[in-house]
Amino acid sequence: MTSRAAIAVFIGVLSLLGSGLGSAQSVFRAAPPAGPPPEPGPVDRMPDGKPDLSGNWSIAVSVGDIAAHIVRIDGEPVEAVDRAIPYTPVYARLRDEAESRMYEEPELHCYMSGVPSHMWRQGYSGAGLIIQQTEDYIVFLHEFQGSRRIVPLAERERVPDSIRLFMGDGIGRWEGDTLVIETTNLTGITWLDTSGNRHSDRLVVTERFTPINNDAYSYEATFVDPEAYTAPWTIAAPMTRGGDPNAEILEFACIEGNTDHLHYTEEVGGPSRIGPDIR
Amino acid sequence: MSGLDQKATAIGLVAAGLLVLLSAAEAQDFSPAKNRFGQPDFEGIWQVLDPAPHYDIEPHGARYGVPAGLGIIVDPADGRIPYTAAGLAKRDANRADLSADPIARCYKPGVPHIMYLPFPLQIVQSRNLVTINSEYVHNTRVIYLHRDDHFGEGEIDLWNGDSVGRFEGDSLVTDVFNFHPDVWLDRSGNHAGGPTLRVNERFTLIDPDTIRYEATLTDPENFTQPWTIRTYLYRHKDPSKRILEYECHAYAENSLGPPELPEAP
Repeated sequence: MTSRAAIAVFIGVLSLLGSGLGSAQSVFRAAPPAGPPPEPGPVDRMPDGKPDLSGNWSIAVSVGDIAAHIVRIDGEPVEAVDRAIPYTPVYARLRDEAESRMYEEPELHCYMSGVPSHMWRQGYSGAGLIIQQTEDYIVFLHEFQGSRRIVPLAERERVPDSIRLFMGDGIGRWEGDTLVIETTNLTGITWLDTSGNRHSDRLVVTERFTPINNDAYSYEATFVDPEAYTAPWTIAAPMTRGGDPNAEILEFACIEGNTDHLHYTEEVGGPSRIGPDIR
Repeated sequence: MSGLDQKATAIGLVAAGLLVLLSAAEAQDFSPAKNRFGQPDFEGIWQVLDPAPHYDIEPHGARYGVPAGLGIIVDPADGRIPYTAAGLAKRDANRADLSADPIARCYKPGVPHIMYLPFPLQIVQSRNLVTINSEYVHNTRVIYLHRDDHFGEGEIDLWNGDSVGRFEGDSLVTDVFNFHPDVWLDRSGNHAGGPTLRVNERFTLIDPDTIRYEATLTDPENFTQPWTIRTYLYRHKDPSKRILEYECHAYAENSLGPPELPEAP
């Protein structure tokens, strides 16, 4: 089986695992991002007056190619034709080798997708991004890989540099009505999309969630990583509230059912990156 | 019933009565803070103090790598799981092959085991859902408050079950159903899972920093009667405490790490 075919099988299995159960449930469907831009309007607020993002959302970013959503490179707006991640030479080569490094794809190993790409995996599972918000924390839950981020909304000390986390160390703050989350201490393991766009463990991601109205926010993420990129770059996408306030995410039993990494035989370099069968 | 059995039963009943009184006394004096939805506020980072039940929920002496424990089963009074013959046979089979332990394979721990793992957990509340976010392999239990029924009749195998809940006075009570058959209760082969299991939990704050956690397990296939565990979750007070990651399956692979970088072109 080629690596690409194996990925396809894997994604198929994940889809079954993730959404096959959903038929009995209220399943989130992302609203199509097409149409006129959302009208400004009031937003639900927390008791402390900050916007309340609690609920179910989708962020319209392609799982397959994050570069399609680039709006600025080094702070300058870019045209559609110039949308390319400003890789350093080593990371440009790493990205070019993605096809022969599919055994490194994190999802194959049931890893959480990392920040920010776990935010838009609804295409796999049919379920949206669930946000829980208190005055102290904002929590992002996704059905895909059961990924989860718990972000404090107050300054605190970062974890030491030696601690690397799949979902990083995110700290949130408010700039007016915009929620800003800066995430550090990421791994160099996760991918930015399924086509093999990469980052190093020096990556710092700054996300901005700005309300337009209660059901529409604008989402931006800026990537700074001197090892992997020659300049900061930014993506933007609409963020839309799901229609069903009771949408649910189901259990995603990936580790419990994963056999896909066993397809990665020595010919494709798999065993050099894959450990003992833990089942 | 022999005289000795009667005596044991009487002692058991008295002990059970004392426990009821004790738990009533704990709950009486304390009225927990309420959140913005009027729910008793369980938010915080919590953890059991005693690692022993994670290894064996029944009374047990110490052995290599396992601390002794008095067990957490409060009913029946002997502190033992009231297995049926089939349930006991499965326990014995598990015990004969501890490599089948889901935790040894980095699988989801199941309910109630997730509550007494030696990992912290963070409880977060919204209007319609309570999440219990364990550090162990990013397991999040979502307890849905907007429905009181389950989908299907036990045909769906979920390692952590399907949890629905409601607030009863100042307690959070749940009904958990639709379990995978291979869920273990501890590292010693005790088990509870499968389509006929129901777990009914009760979370009660007995002071600002302590949750009394009780779970009653009912499954006619594996148990001769419903039985109940009780343990306590303590609030982490260190303001720097946070839920980190224990991505067990990633560490089990022998070469976790950033990619080997290519030569510069």
